[in-house]
Amino acid sequence: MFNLLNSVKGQHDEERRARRYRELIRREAKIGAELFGPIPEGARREFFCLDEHTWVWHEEWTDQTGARRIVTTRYDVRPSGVLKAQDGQPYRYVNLEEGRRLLKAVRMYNQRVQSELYS
Amino acid sequence: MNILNNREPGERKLSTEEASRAHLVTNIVAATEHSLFASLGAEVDPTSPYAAPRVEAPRSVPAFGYANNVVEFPGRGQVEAAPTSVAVPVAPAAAPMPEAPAFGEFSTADPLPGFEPVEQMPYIDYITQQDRAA
Repeated sequence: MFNLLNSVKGQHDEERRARRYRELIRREAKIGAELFGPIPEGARREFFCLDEHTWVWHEEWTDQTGARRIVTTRYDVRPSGVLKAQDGQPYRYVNLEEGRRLLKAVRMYNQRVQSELYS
Repeated sequence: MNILNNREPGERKLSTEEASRAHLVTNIVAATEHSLFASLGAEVDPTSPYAAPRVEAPRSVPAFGYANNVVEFPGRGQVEAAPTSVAVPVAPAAAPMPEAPAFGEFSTADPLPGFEPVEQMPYIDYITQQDRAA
C-alpha cells in the first residue's frame, strides 16, 4: 500500500515537473517571437530552443484566400554547420546572410530569457 | 556573494526546471556560434571572440638570423648575407553559397515554391497542441 502511494506520488511529481518544463518553453517561445518585430493580427509565431541542438521557428497565418498557413522551420546545430529544415523542403546548410541573422537572434534570445526568466 | 548559497543579494533560487533550461539555452547558443563560425568563417561576425584569426596579406619576412642583412658568427668577422623572404600563404576564398530565403525575413504572403502544408512535425505538438488543449 505504501509502495503504491509512493508510486502515485512519484508520478504526480514527474507530471508536475514536465508541466513546469513545458511552461518554461512556452514562455521562452513567446519571448523568441518578439525578437522579430510585431506579430500580424491573427498570426501566431514562436521561436525557441527545443533541446541542446535544435532551434524551432513556427509561424501560422491566414493567407489572402483565407486558407490557414503553417510553416515550421527547424535549425539543427551540428559541429560542421547549422542545417535548416522546413516542411517539405530538403535539408540545407544556412548561408552567410541567414547565419548572421540566426546568430543575432539566438544571442538576443539568450540575453532576454536569461534576464527575464532565469534571474 | 552569500557563500552559503552561492547567490548574490537579491538573486532568487531557480527551480530545477529553470536551472535546466537556463543551462540548456547557454549551451545551445554557444554551440550555435561555434557551428556557424566553423561553417561560414569569421565573416559571420568579425567582432566575435569566436572569429578565426585574420590571415594577413603576403609579405616578406626576413629569415631568422638575417637582421640588417648581416650575419654574425662568434669569433668571425661580419658576413653580409642577402635577406630571404617567406611568403605567407593566403587561404582561397570560399565559394559563395546559393541564394536562399533569409532567416527573419519570412514572407507571410509568399509561401515557398513547392511547399505543401503537411501534418505537424511530432515535436511541435509538444508546444502548440498543449496550448490548444489548454
